[in-house]
Amino acid sequence: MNATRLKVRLTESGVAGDYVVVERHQNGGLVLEPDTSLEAIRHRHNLASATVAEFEAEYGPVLAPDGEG
Amino acid sequence: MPPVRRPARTPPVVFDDAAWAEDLAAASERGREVAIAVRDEFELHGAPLAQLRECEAEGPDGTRLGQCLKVYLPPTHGAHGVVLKIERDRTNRRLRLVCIAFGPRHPPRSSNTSRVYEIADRRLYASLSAARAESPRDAR
Repeated sequence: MNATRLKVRLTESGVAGDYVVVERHQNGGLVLEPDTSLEAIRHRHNLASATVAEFEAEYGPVLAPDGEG
Repeated sequence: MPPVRRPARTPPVVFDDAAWAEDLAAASERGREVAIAVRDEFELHGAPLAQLRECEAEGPDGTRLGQCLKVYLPPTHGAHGVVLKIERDRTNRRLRLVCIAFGPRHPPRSSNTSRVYEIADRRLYASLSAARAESPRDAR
């Protein structure tokens, strides 16, 4: 049975971290995968959002967008 | 005697192992070669300032990558790319570039492979559509 993107945080040593529930079984079993959302990445690496303007103020200008993505 | 030139500062790049493993698992053999080389290079020397390009706030395929940068791989017009999110380290307040996606720029439609921009967009906005279980006991 598929689940919506329910997120869980485990605290047990060895498996601690943020996960996404990718399967929920009728017997209560869960299949987890590491959460690779930006929110989880920020939590793992202790980061906060910054801007292009802040970046350019410190490192100089970057190339302009090229219309691709 | 020529003046001694200091090496240009380059922004450090953070790779998240979980996201990186996911991207490499989806990559072609050539893609994995490119990815491994770029991680080695960026972790050792930082991101190349001259190759950093701003992403589109709204791309032609609907991806929304404002405040992100990208590098084409191999430089400067390779078939792959990384999308880098500009972040600030909460501990020392320094800027970091976080690699939030590696993948092909224009995979064949028949391959059913996500573009690097689609991968990045999913990671940026995943939390908006997700419900969070606050108690760790929920998954034990």
